[in-house]
Amino acid sequence: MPQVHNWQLNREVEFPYEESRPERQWAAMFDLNKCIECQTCTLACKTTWTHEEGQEHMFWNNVETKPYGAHPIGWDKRTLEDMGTMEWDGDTYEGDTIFETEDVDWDDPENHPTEERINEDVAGFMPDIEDDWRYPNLGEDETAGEEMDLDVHFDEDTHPIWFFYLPRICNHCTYAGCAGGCPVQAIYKRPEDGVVLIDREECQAQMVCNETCPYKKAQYNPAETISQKCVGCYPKTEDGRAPQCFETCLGKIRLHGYINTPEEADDSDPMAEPTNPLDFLVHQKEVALPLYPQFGLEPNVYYIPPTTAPVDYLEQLFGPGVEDAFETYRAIGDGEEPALEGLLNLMGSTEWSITAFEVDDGEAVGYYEGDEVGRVPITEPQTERDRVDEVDGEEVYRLDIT
Amino acid sequence: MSDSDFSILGGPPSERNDESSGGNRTARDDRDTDADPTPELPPGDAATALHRARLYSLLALGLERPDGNGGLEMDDTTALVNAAAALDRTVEDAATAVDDHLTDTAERKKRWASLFGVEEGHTVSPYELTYLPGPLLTTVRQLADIRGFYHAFGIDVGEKMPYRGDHVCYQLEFLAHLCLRDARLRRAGDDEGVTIVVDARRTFLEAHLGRWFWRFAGEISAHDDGFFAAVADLLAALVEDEIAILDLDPEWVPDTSEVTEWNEGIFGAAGRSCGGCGADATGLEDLEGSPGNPRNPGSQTAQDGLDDR
Repeated sequence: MPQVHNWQLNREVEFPYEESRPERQWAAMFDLNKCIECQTCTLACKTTWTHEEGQEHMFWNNVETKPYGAHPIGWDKRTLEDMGTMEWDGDTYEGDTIFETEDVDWDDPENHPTEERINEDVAGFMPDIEDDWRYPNLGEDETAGEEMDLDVHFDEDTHPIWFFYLPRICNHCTYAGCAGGCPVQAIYKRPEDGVVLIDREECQAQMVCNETCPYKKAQYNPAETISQKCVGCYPKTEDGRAPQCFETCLGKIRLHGYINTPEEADDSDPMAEPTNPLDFLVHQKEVALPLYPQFGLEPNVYYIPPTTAPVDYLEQLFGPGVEDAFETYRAIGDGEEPALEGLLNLMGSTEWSITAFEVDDGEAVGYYEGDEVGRVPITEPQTERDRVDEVDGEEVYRLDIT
Repeated sequence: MSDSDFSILGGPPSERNDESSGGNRTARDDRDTDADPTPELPPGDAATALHRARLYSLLALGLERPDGNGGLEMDDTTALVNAAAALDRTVEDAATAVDDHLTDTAERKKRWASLFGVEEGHTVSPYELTYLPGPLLTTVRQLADIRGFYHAFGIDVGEKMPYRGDHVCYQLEFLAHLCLRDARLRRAGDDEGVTIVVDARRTFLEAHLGRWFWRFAGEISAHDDGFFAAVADLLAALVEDEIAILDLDPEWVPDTSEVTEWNEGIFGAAGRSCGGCGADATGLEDLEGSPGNPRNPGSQTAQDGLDDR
């Protein structure tokens, strides 16, 4: 059976095609503690890429409220239900991935996805175009947890009443589910950056990718009679620029760059020399985690989980590393992670992709291909005002003395 | 091993068997191969191009707010008639009507404010996007396209007139700019240059002003019977003359503004409402995975998580 190595699950997994990795892999990190769901990213993408007839239902970038929001409706829960029990043994995933759920022997030519033999034996579902895509803001701001009463206090790190915003784009997966399911092999990863694209000349609108992408980021365009998906803004990234949804992010929650496997990860110390920021966040600090790694596709968008939400819920989304990620993230506040703090300040300070960063004399410096593209202080300068001013002989008290 | 030679890693499958393509293509490669040289020289001559440039330019002036810097004066309308006379009888008649209806600046300023100014609210919108079908969300692409035309010829919207790029005055000034270039390139004997600027004028008229000028002119005529109605008639006559000479077939904008949020053809009657958050949705409780559904497995997942703590 074709076995490919998935480092996020710490084991070999099933996939219809052999393992082959690009020269470098497009990757992203979103800090969920910063997202305010302003939807600027969504609109930036919409007005750039999906404004034509037939694309009305498409949001290559969307932001949904968790736990109750989902676009399309119930996309993650419906797939998770299909997959059955999902258990981890330490860092190793012991449950089935979407390609393993149905026990298909992907090495058997009879099972190989072809035009004549479409194989939909992959966990998941086909979104209904009339109903499932209709409510992009479904569940917005709906809270989970306790009822809101007058005596509810938010004393602990985990809040008793909670929700958070989850921005989602195509994960440009190493083992792309859309490509694995396509019966006419019209979906491919670019060797130079790993961006997953649908070849519009080859697409025959079988729509299997709509079903086999568990993140539901491949969508059918009825006007063009092809499926379409996020292109990672490759015309921008080829020139070193961050994608539209990154550049326009008001909360500066997004970092665009390129990631390596753990074996080839950059282990430099950014306090001493330029270091790959994605490798630093994901492999060195392990503070950014993949979304639903148990799907088995090695997604390449990584998230710093929101510290106010319950860990057991977050572990369903991001795997077993949530508590460790929290510990590291909270250490920033104690001044124990200056490089991490610097990198998180550097995010969003430049329209360029950041391929390396370092800490230089109290400042975080970002580089694209060796050129400096951003420089920010690790600790923002602050002014402390006196609590009381004397104005015309009267004492004026400040309620906000930041 | 799979029996397929396919790997998900590689260039576009449609180009994989094309060995002459020399590997995987990038967006930059696509841009490089877009050029389509057209050797045949477009119809026209330098003098006509110059007259046309003058007409477009004066029309833009005529539709600007009449004050010390904008608006037509007596000398301008004389030049307008002279330039129109060199083109076409219908255009000349329309230009003569503009000259006949020229009033003093104060009167035109008042009328302009009533028609286009924010003082009394837009009676007639001078912006292309107003007349296009579909919601603003999808028509903004046209705005980018228009600005792309300007940038391609090295010009941009001036700081003193901070209107949106689809304003009729900008579009007319851009066409004037192209006609001026046309005249100069013809005099220099630069056939390739002439082909490029005429092709740009043709494309711009077909994709932009040629689509909506008639609605704009109609709106002015419906609200005015003086100077600005005459300017609108001249605008229509000139653009119609261009459409005939350049053999254009612009897709006209609808008779009335038709703002749509969702495509009913695809989503049915339900597609008319917004309902993005599901707040006004009916029947939502029947959908699998919906938070409105008490059997919602997602709610259960989250709540179970909390209960376990």
